[in-house]
Amino acid sequence: MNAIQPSDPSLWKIVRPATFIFGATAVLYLTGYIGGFDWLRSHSLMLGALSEWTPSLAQGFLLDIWLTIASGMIGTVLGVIIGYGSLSKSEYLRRVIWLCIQFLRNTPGLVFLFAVAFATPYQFDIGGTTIPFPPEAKVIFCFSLKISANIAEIVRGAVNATPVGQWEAGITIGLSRFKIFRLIILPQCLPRMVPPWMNIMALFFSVVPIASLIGIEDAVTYAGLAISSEDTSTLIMPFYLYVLTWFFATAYILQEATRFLEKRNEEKTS
Amino acid sequence: MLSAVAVLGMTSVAPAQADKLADIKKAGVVKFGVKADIKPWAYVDSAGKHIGFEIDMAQHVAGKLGVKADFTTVTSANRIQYLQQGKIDVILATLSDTPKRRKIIKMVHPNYFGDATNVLAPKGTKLKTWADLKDSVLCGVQGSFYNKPFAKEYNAEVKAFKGPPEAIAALKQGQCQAFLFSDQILRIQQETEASLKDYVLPFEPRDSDLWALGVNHGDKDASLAKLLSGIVKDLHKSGKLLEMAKPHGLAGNPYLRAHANK
Amino acid sequence: MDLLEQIGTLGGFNYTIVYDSFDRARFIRGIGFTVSLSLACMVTSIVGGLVLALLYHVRGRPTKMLIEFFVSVFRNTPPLVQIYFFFFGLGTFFAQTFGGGFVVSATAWAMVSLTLFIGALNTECFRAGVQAVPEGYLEGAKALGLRPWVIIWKIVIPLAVRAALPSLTNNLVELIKATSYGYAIAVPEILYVSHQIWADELNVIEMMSALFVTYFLLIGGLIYLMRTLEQRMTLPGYGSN
Repeated sequence: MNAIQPSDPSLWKIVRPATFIFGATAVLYLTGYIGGFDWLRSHSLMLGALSEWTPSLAQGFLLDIWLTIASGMIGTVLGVIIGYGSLSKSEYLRRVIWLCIQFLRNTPGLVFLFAVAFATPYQFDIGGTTIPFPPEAKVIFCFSLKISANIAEIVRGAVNATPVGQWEAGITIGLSRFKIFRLIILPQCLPRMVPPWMNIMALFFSVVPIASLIGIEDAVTYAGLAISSEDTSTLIMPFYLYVLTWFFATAYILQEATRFLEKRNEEKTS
Repeated sequence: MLSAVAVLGMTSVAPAQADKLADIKKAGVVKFGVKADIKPWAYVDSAGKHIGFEIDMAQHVAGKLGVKADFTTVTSANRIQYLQQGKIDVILATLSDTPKRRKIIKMVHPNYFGDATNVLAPKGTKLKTWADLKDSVLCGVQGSFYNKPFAKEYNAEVKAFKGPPEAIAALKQGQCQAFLFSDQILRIQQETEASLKDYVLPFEPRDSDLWALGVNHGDKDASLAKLLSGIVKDLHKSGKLLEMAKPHGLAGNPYLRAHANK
Repeated sequence: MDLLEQIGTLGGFNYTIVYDSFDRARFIRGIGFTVSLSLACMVTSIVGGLVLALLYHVRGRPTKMLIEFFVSVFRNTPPLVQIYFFFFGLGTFFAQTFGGGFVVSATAWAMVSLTLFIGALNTECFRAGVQAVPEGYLEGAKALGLRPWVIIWKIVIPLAVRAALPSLTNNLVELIKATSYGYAIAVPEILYVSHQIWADELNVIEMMSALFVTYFLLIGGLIYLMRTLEQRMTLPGYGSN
């Protein structure tokens, strides 16, 4: 197996846009911070405004990243469990799970998010304790479920592509169905599942900004606030482009990493 | 029917508390739902801090309650829902006191600001009287209580956006003939925003309405409502509310002036 | 209470779209809008994706890089921000540069944004589809003396589309779901209309359920059609029989 060298050119290619874009952002902000935002505005209204609003925008952007990661982690664990369930011997369970997966996959993110946001309370009072359920948690709840549906499909597809002999071998040494899945099948499937998994993560990272429509203070919300606060039409495109480049830089890393891993998988099997 | 659904909604999502006021005092913080895009009533600076006339008012109220003020950004579309779900304790967000809303939430009286409905249109607009709105295309904000009645009355199409900045951006593009919104907010923004200098309010305002603080119905919020009522009454009586309005350029509001020092 | 009102308020629910003519009319208009927006964007994004995929394979390095860049940009940026950029950014820019009469409607911008976004996804799947056309077919065609245009039209495209059908189905499902982004710029598609209704009537749960059913049916219908198409187009000896 080829280990990845630190000087591997393909690794550098993955982070090249990100280094350039976030580097430029840092330079822009520092220029304004050190030289004074008003000074920068006097030279270029666009650069000055972008520079001054960078911290708020960055805070929102980090929230988007956090929401994606949290939803991704919970959704993946949930998805593996549901994926296992979809392989069940029970026809009834398979049908129910199939229905749930179809429902979750075929509902627009925005619709599902509205449903969760409106239909669930702000906090749960169980026993004597109060568990808060803020909008951010609702977003994570909503996306975790959707991600789990996609992951379940990936798991099902990968397991179905595993030779039946593996299952049979597991049975002959007396393992339970769940143990076979956990100890034999899943580890074999993992490398094959990583590229589609990263695709899902990249997809949901692009969907997360819809949270701004239920009042989450993310990058898109702050961009809107900045634009209305500045009240200058010529700043609308720069602000949205600014935020777009950040999303691009981050998602690009996922895209190229996926491609890199896909190539490695191909090399291993060919 | 409406109240039945409203009650159903409320009882299934309202948090179980003995007394909202006691909880607020215990937590040491009162959570206000405020706007973030209505200059100069409630907006944010580049650091994301809430500022404006309603913010000043909220700080005063919190001070009188002996607690700190916490601000959650709300929109016309989600402020009532947030209050019902318990995410905020009080709505202080350009909330018009209408009979339909009174069924769902408790409006704190006395009211604190006077308003009406109007439209904003470009200078050369062909709209001269309200009747000209027939079959027109209007921009609006989601959650405004006059959207549906006006759409029905004038057979107009109301394109509802997330907030006033988005609606005004659409108006500037020519996506609609006029922006249907609060008379006071349109007036002040047209006077203060440089980009709106070629825009006018072609009609006389109609359907006056008053703004109020909003809290939940029921015993849990009763003591809170009573206390807030007293604070607002005092704000008018002492003339302090009018004082607060001055630095934001809002001291010209007829309702404020009529009720100050009374 | 007439019959419709009785049905609409069964179980304590408040389905105004059943008994209120105003709400019913706008809900149906909303469904119609979602369907027509989806169909229109399907056509444009499929044609666009196919054209770009073909260009990718027949042209040289610069074109390849340009197409890769285009696909990369639209796949890696949030569709919501894309639509905001088009409507509020470009829209305002056009209105200011070209003056009074030139207004691009929100629906038009939604179409542009969705076509580019899904078109980029389609380019990827058609690219793989074109690549899957066996070399032998192309060589045979050349040996028969067929002109390039004929080869592309009669051999490459049918085979590429056939190979790309599964991922194309996925993309078209994404398209139907993505029409809901129009909500953010007041495009009267079904989600926007439903929000109007529940904002007026305060019947969120009822409208939500209606939305779920609507999308379920629309997407289910699409998947059924695509599966039928897939079966009709299967070549004996290829794919899983």
